[in-house]
Amino acid sequence: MRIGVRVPLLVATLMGWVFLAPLNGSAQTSPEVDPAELQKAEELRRDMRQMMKLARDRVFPALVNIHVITVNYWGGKEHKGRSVGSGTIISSDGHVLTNYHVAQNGKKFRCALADKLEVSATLIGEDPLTDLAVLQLDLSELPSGSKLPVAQFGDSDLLEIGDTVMAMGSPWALSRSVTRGSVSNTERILAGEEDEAGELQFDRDQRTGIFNRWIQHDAPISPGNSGGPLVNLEGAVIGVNTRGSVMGGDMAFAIPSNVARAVAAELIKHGEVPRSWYGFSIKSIKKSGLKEGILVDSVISDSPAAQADLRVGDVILQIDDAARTIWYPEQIPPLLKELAERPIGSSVRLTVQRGDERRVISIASEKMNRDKGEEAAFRGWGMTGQEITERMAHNRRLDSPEGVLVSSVASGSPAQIAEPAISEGDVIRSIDGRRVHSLEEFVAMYRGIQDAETSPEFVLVEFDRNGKSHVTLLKPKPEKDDDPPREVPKAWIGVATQPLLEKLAKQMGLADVLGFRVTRVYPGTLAAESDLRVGDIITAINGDKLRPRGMQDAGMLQRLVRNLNIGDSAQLTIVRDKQASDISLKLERARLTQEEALRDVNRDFELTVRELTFFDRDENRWDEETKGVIVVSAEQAGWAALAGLRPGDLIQRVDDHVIAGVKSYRAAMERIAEAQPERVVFVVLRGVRTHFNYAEPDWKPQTTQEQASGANNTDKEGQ
Amino acid sequence: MPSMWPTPVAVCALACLAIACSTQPVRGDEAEVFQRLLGEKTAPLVTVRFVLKVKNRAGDSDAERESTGVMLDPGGLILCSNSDFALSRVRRDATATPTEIKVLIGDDTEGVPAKLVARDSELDLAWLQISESSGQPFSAIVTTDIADADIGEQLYSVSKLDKFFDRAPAVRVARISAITSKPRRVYLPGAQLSDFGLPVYNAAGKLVGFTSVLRPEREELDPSGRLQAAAVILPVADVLSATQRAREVAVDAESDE
Repeated sequence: MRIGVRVPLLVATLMGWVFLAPLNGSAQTSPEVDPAELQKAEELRRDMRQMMKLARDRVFPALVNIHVITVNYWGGKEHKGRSVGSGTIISSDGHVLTNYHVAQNGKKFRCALADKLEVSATLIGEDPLTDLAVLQLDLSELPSGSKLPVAQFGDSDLLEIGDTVMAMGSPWALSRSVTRGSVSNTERILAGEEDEAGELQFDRDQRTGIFNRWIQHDAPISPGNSGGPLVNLEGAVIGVNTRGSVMGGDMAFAIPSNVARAVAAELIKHGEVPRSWYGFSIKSIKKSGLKEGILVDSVISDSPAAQADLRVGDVILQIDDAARTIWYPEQIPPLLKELAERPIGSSVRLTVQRGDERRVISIASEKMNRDKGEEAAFRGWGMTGQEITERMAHNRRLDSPEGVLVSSVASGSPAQIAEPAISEGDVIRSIDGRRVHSLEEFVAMYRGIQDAETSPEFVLVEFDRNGKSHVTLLKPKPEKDDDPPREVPKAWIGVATQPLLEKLAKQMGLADVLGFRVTRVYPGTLAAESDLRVGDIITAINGDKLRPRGMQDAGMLQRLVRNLNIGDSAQLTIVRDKQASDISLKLERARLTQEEALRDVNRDFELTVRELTFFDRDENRWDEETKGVIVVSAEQAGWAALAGLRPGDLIQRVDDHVIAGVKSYRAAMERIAEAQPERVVFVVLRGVRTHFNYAEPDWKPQTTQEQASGANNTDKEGQ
Repeated sequence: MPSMWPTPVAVCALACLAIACSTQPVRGDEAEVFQRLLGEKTAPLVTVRFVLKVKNRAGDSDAERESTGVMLDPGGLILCSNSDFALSRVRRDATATPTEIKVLIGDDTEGVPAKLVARDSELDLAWLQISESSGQPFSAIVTTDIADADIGEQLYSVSKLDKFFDRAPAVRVARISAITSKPRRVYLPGAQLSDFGLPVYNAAGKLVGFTSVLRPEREELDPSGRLQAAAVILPVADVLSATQRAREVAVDAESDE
């Protein structure tokens, strides 16, 4: 409630200033100012402007706006989406530094450069633990002879509180924006409830921000600024804007450039950041009563630390014979970074205090594995599955990382209707008696079953849930949807009508004439061949008077017609120019409705189309020569939607294939799926003009292991 | 606040009525009607299990559903409520397609595959055809022993309960409160029926009609767009006529070109 009161008061105060200033100003005289001082101030202003301009121009041309097509997994299937972030070109080879959370789950990347040229990019590597990623621009798409602008890193350790900085990026996806502010803190940690350096999490499994302290500043940033540079007045990148806060005013947080530069170099070199892992976590001695050392907070079972007999509660006094103490949480990230950066396999000597005993423990590090596993969708079974990492297995108290974690299940899917049902959190252990060791194996088994010429009636699935081993039968689902059933054939007159009610008839000078006024005679129907015209009032059918009493009777005429037989003749009594007459009309079969029209769902392009109906032709004034299929839906961020196809478009041609209806469309799309071209052209009729829409489908498989191995996705199932 | 009063009074009146109904002893001849209908009329009832795939702007969603139908002929033609396989008419931005249709006959829990061959949106009826059968004729409803009904007459609808109750057959009672001529001739049951597409008998066991739902055309909806659906009993002749048309439907999937 207080906020609600304060804001209007503040607004009122500001408005008062705005509107009062000119009125008061006219009655005042300017104070005397020393001309020399004015000149000095003017020069300073000019110099400051020049300084800002120079700093800006050293980075701004290297700023890119990153458009990402993402694939996320939930609800038992994959979902495409679009997001926008920012990045900086950091090498003449076309490397772009951005946030991991900008590139996360990215399927396709396009970068808008300073000259507005849009260039494709690929992901070189990502490091969720520091929330950084590097993209590679496709230099072949640049005009020949063009040179990329490259930003330089500054030394973030030299940054001081109060320094002026500029944040560059694409707030709310608005391209190329610069804001200015001051550094508020150079070693901010985002402390948890216990005043400890909290492990930030992207989700249940993925940690982030554990190796750095943040540069806190007040240059305004918004969603879309992520990955953009924080720039000092020398025009050097001293941070990567990553987080903002809408609560508590202008608080923005950037990853220091010294962390970003090192991580980017590793990603460019290795595609990942190789780090040492020991398997223990630490805590400051704040509130512990200890006078020195580092408290061992937890030890992961079977980790190098556990094997070396490091125990929870031990106090580390020395690391490699150097005395170390962690007094406060801000000291933790640099130490974790220092330990992680040691060569993988090297040993660290810890002198620890355990009760009254002091002992030396030597821990040989292992390679730090990813927190979170790959995901994939299994559309035919209605579920998504995830690779289980060591960390995920530990967090879930699983015996081992073997198997596949069920990350989501679709409502009504084979997985959900199995008895017992497969649920989120289950771990699939075997399929038809064959052990599942990894996601890759599971994908291969799934494909083998779905691609088999004769689909098995059931698949035997063994899964673990809360330590209990279950078995169930899952019935694989055919990918193709059934065609919608047709309505039973009924008689119809090819006219549209409105009820002519008593008051309306009276006003039209047709007192006592009740019935249905013809508003359209559909061309190409038997009605069109008859003498019926727009404006005729049908007052009776086969002698039965039509007396609509309100709009609730709007369907009365056609309802009566539907009770008659197709092919029979009906006698319509009409009033035209206030004269009554009879028209004999043969009843024809009701035309196909849009609800009954045949449909096709194309999984590759995530495009649903249906056949063209009589009423589509009539609404759009398309003649019989106009053929094609109508777009019902193009799923968000699917290849068809990205190509610009919209509901209502009439697809007339796909590449060289002329589309006459659903049958030829299906044949064309099958041939395109076999050929897997880089670009597919949809020629559509939209309103009165044709449009060329270019789709650039990604025919690649979905798991990164498969992408690395260069395997091709030739089936249409979601992998 | 006098306008506050009618509702509680009405509630009290309904409550009293309900108590009166529930405490009223069942007459011996009524019990005999129930038992006879359960014994003679429930064999043609089948359970239809399917997955309804719904597509709308928000994406796809599937839901497993069950419906009760009645076998119309020994060849495996089944009558059901179209509403069970479709969305409400007011949702024009969405489509619903029933898939993986299985018909459970008797105590069977696996089911035999079937296909939705035709629907009549106006009468809210749908027809399924069993696509794989053992060749044995199915137990079908008798549609020749029929009767009209009068206002006030007590009728009996036979149906099956859901899987939690092991799909046991059940009889429900409804008294005819009105017979309409517009928009068409139907019997309006005084009690709200919940299962549609199913046969309704009189006390003598003669077939009177089939339960259904009538809805206005789109342009006939009141301005609020509120759905004005009514549970009705369709006369047997109307349903048989529609069934004859349904048999004639030739769904030619490739007829577009």
